Amino acid sequence: MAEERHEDFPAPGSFVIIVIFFITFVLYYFLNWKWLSMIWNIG
Amino acid sequence: MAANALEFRTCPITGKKVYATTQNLIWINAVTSVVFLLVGGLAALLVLLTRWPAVHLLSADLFYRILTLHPIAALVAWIIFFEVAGLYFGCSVLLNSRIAAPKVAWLAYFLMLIGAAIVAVQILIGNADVMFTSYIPLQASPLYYLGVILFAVGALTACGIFFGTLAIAKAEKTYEGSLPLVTFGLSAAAIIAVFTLASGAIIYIPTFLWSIGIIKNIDPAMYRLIFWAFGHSSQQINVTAMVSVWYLLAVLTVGAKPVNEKICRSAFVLYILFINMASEHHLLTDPTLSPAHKIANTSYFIYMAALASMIHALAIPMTVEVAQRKKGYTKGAFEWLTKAPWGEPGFPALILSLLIFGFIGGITGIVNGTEQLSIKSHNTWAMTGHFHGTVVGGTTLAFMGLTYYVIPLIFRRELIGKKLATLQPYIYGIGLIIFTLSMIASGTLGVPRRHWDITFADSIIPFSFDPTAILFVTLTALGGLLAIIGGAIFVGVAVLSVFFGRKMAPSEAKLL
Amino acid sequence: MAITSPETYWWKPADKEERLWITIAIVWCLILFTMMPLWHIVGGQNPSLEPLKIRPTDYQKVSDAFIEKYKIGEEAGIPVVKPPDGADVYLRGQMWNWIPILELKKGVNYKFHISSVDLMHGFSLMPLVMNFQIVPGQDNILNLTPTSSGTFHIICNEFCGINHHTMVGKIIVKD
Repeated sequence: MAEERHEDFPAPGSFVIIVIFFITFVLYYFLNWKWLSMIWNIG
Repeated sequence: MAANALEFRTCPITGKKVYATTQNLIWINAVTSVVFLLVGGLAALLVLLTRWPAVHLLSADLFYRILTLHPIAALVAWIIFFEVAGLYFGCSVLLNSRIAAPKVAWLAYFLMLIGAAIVAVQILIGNADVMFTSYIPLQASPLYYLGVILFAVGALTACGIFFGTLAIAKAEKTYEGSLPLVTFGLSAAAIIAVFTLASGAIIYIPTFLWSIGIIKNIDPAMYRLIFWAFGHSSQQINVTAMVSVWYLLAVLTVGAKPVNEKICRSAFVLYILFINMASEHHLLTDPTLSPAHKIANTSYFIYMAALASMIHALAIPMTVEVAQRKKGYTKGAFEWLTKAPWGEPGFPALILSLLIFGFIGGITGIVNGTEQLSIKSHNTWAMTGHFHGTVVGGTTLAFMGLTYYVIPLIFRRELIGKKLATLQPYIYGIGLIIFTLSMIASGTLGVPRRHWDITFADSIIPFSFDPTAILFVTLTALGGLLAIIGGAIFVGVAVLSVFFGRKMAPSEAKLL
Repeated sequence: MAITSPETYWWKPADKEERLWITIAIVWCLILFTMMPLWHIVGGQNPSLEPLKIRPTDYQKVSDAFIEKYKIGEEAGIPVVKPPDGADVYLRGQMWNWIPILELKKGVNYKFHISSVDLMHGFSLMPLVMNFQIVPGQDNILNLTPTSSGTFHIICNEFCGINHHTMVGKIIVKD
């Protein structure tokens, strides 16, 4: 079973890297919405 | 120069046919690109030393002038000459084919060279203090616009040579099956280039006519819209070419093979289909377009291209990891990475280029390109930090890494300064990480782009930035200096090796 | 390898790893898209909704009339203007000033018009870091409500000639 999963994921290290990238992306993105909400109301 | 069109040698490492005409064309375009990198790098140094408040080197008029020169040399000339060399590599060397119409390829080169030279001279003599974007109503001399048009025609011709060579290779059956992935990626870049240069013609030709008085008025808002149709698409050429180079570096450094060709090729097709329409993110805070228009353009189109980038972002590390695991580096999650060839210049260049482009350039690109979020970053240094992340940390660093292989493989010269060559991507990459992150932080605190004096010494209404902002500006300057040292090392090693490197024997199968 | 032709049949299904990541990426792109129309509905900061063309000479006239009507003083040679609540406010960018200096009230909604009478300018309000492109021939109309009081400065962040870096304006917001 573990081996099957291993084949499904031929590059597990790369997946870890891309998940770190994704988390950074999501955090930075929503942080910027927070900063935007702190300026005057426009629109 | 006057080589027999059918004279070729066989590469001792890949077995590919390298025609003498192709080799010469790659040589001249690559060498010229590095010359312009040097010019662009010197301009970068002068701009940096002026924006660093503690130094404030140039006067205001010289600053704005050199700031116009810097992107012409670094963003346009260095990158496009290098890409043309890459195109010839992809269509001729990788397909074992002779190049189509070598004389026309040389004509394309001279058009690009003369165009770039005219533009550079016009800028330096003060006839084009308009920034790279030359936003109307600012007006440069007619020769400036003409120089740009000449350069673009030359580049378009080179794309034509590329497609012509693909046709010849197919007709003469110089390869079997589908195009190799690198050639496929470069084809995507060339297709985007055709659309880009067409948009460029649509904006630069009328602007040229306006500069000589034939057209009376050009709407500034319309100029900006069409300029960016040309301007952003041209960056996508760079992304597509860079991604192709990443796959090539993965082969050259660890012998990697794409894990799934369908996925990689589909991602390149996404680039072609969607990037040409996705330029309105430059106009998000303009009053020109409705929000519905902006959102559709900015999301539907650019997110398809962003999706393609995210696909490559996983695919490329996967090719490296799979190749390394096959070699036996299977301990834990990361032995494949720790035991990778970090002591060769190509591998750190690949990894740093991927990381800087992805984490810094890519993430800030999406954030800045969000309709409402752009209110915070438009025309600040956050914007400048973003595109230095993509095109300097991403594209330029990848091209530099590739050059260390082009020199022995194509030019058949041994590298002079191998230790320096190995250090160079680290120096350049780390310098750029400090530079771009500090620049983005400065811009987040409000530091403007294209600005001679952020201490506002000459304003009639006094204003000054928080000392934290000035601190980040200083850090930007320091990171930039480190990067410039890395750039200088690259130019030094490249020029020395190309001209004075030991000539390798035809059967010498050594890379580095 | 990426430099050789792929094996003949390369249209193969992707492995689980790539499929999972592509799914995550697609969902993320949909979220990125949704945030923009969503913020128009629930968020407080959105760029101009009404593209409006106006000739620079006409904008100059409207801007001068606004200054004359509500002028309360002068600072450094620039008129200081205090518009009434809810008024149309006309801010003008020109080489190399933002005119007039404005005195506004916190919590009050103003219909802000910003345009240029010569080149492109970059409206950049400090220390909030709020930025808009100011285009000659176009009126950047913003429904603005200052949510904080104090003294704010407008710098210019679009190159507009040799004194671009001296261009500073001011907005004072009273409680």
